Amino acid sequence: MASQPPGNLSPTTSPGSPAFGTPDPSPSLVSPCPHIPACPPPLCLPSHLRAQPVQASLAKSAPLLEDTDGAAKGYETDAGYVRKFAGTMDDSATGVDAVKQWTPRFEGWNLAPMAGVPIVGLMFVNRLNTIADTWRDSAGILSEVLRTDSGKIDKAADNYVAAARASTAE
Amino acid sequence: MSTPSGEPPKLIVPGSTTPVANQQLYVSNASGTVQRTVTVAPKPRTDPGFYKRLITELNPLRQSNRAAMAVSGLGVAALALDVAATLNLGNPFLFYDRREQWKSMAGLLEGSRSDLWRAFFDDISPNWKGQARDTLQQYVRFNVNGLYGQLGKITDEMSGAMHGQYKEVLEYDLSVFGLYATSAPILRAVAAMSAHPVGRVALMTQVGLFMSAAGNLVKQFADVYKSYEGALNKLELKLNDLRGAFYRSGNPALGARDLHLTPAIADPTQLENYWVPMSKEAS
Repeated sequence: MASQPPGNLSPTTSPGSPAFGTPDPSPSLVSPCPHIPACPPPLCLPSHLRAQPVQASLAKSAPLLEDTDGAAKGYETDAGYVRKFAGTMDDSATGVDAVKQWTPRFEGWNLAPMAGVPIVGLMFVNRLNTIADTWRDSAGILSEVLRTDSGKIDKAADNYVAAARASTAE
Repeated sequence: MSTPSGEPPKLIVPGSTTPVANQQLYVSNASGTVQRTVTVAPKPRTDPGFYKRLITELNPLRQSNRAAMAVSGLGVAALALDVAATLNLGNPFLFYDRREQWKSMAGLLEGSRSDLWRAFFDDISPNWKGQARDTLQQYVRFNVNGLYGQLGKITDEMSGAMHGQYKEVLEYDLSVFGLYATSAPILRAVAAMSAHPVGRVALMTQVGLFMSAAGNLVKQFADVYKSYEGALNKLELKLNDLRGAFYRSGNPALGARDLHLTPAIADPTQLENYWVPMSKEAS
C-alpha cells in the first residue's frame, strides 16, 4: 500500500520530464527583454528612454503622408535635423557642465603642512586656484550659452513646422 | 509641438556636487530615443598611500636624528633645517590626481566639442540653406569652437603643470627620505659615543654633514619650485586669453560677453529668410 503511490508516481514523472525537457529551450529565457529593439543587457530601459519601435515611427508619419503628399513628410524630416542638432547642443551643454563640476582646487587638507602641498608650493596655490576658478566660471558660461541657444534652435524648428503646416493647410 | 521629451534621468544636475560613482548618461535625440549611453566615470582615484607610508617610516628616523642633533650642541640650527626639509615634503598623489583630473576633463571637453561640430556638418549643413545655416556655421566655427579651444588650452596646460609638480614632489620626497635613512644609523652610532671628546667631534662633523646635505636639498627644491613660476606664467597668459574670450574686455567684473545666437533665428517673422530647406527649389 505504502509503496504503491511512489511506484505509481515514478513511472509517470520519468517519461514526463524528458517530454517537458525537449521544448524547454524557450525564447523567454534567451531574451527576457520583450521590447522590439532589445534593451542593453543588464536591465530594460524605462519606456521613454527606449528606442521607439519601427512601427510607431511609421504610424506617426503615415497620417502625414496621407494628408498631403510628400511635402508634409518633407518639412517634418527637415525639422528633425534641426531638432537633432539642438539635441546635440543640449548634450554638449550637459557635458560641459559635468566637466565644470570636477574642476579641482587646492583646499582643505591639501594645504595642511606635511599632508598635501609642500610648503614652498603654498605661494602658488592661490594662483592655481584662481586659474581653476576662472576656468570653472568660463565653462559655466559656455554651458549656459549652449543650453539657451539649443532652446532657440528648438523653437525655430517648432516655428518652421507650424508655418509649413499652415501653408500646406491653406 | 513635440518638444524634446524632458531630461533623461540620472543626468548630472547643475549645481550638484561631483558625481559619485559611474554615472550613465543617456544621450537621446530630440524625440527622446536613446542614441547611446555614455558612462561618465570620474574614476575616483584612491591614494595608494605612498606618502602616508613614507611619513610613518620617516618619523622614527627623524626622532633619532633630532636626538643626535640635540646632543651635538648644534641643536637649534640643525632642528630648523630638519623642520624646513620635512615641511617641504608633499603628497605626490595630490598632483598625480590633479594631472589625471585635468586630463580627463580635457578629453570630455574635446568630445563634446566634436559632437557639436559633427552635428552641424552632418545634420544642418547638408539639409538646410538660407541665413540660419550661415548664422549657425559662424556660431559653431568661430564662436563655440573658439570657446572650447580656450578652455581646452588651459586644461592641457594644467595637466602638464601638475605632472611637473608630481615629478618634482615625488623626487624630493624620496631624496629627503634617502638622506634621513642613510644618516640616521650613523648619527645614532656616533651619538652613542659622544660622551668621549673624540666621539663628540665626530658627532659634530656628522651633524654638520647632514645639515649641509639637508640645506642643499631644501635650496634645490625651492629653486625647482621657483622655476614653476615659468609654467604658472604660461598658464596665466592662457588665462588672459580665456578671460578675453568669455568676459567683456577680458574683465570678469564687467560680466560675461553676450555669446548667444541671435534671437532672430527663432523669430517667426523672419522664418522665410532664415530657414530654407535644401529640398526647396530656388523660387
